[in-house]
Amino acid sequence: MIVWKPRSVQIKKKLALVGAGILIAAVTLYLFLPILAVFLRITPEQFFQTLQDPNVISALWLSLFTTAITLTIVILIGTPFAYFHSRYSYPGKVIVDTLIDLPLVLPPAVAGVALLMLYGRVGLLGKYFNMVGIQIAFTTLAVIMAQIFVASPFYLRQAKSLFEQIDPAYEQTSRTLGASPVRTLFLVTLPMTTSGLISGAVMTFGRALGEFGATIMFAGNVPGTTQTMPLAVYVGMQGDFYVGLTISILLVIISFAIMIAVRLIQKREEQHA
Amino acid sequence: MIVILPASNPANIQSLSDLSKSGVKIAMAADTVPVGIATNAAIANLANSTYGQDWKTATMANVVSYETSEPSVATKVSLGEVDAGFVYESTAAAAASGTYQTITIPKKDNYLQTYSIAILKDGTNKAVAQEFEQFMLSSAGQNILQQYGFRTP
Repeated sequence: MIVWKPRSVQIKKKLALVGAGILIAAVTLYLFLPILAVFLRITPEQFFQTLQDPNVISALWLSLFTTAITLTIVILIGTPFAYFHSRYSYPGKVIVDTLIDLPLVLPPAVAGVALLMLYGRVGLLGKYFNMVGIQIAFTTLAVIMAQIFVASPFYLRQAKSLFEQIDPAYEQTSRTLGASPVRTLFLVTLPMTTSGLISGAVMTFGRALGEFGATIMFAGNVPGTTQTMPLAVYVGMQGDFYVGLTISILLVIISFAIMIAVRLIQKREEQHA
Repeated sequence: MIVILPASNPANIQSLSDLSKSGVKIAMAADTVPVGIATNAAIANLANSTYGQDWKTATMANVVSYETSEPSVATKVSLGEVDAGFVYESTAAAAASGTYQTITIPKKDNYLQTYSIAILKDGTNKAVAQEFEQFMLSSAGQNILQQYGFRTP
């Protein structure tokens, strides 16, 4: 069947398509071309040779190690916290709600200053730790603490809103069928939120992996102990340019690998559901 | 270069040799910035002339942070979060009195950062630039620089 549309409508449709095409191309290229440039400014030989630099290797292991611990702590503590926070109301809930969002808008350098003011050797709490010989600032622990501070809101907000969206009727039904609260949590509630929790964990991982300002302020910058990959990139760009490029490439590869892995996991989740 | 200590001198550092005592926390700049190169050179000179390579190894092991800029080193010291830091003499001189205690590095071991003044070939205001250069090189200009901790060549 032939549909005749007035010429003006056809032209408008074509313009809209062209406009949309330009928009999509602009956004995609703006995000993609800089990343491509990073790969193109170094030859594969230079890349693999720089990979053997001990500072590059130690930055890589330190970043992966600290980010893994950060993620574990945030998930283990954040999930029950988000669950209680979403299910029950308690005095001061509004304040806690706001505090969860605070690290998101706080400049990372400010977060670093804040942590240093509290846990530093002459800090409000730190001076007591120092008296018993416990040092917090300028340690790998400080790296982890900084990462948790800036990255946990991504997971907490996501988990909180996921749990809020789950109809309590599911949990109530499970309880009436005889399941304990813990069993309900693990077999009913969590499976329904897994996909969203994973995406929250990915954002947390990405933010923790890229943390710079709070780390250098609170944990310092020593290769092997506290020089994470972002710090090594910055120092590298001041001195050994190829070290900076190589680590940047590593970070891009890791980020892509995580995103692809998550897509695959989420696809399998959806197939099961 | 000069070594600055927090005003309260928590690690009770009295001389350069104390920098190698275990448990002392030192901040210095990374060797990717000029002040870091200067710090490393001064420490190497001190080790070769007076304190020995063991002193240098122990001192470098006490470094808790390689900062990416010199003001960050000064800040960590003034906060009291580290026991000592390596900065330019001009930084120590420019700070309000009482902020730091200092330990000087002997001139023969020290690394002198030379600052030059020059007129750009393609400059558009060469006459004024000439006047300014002559002023800075005159005794009046040199006095101002000395007030801020710089030495005459």
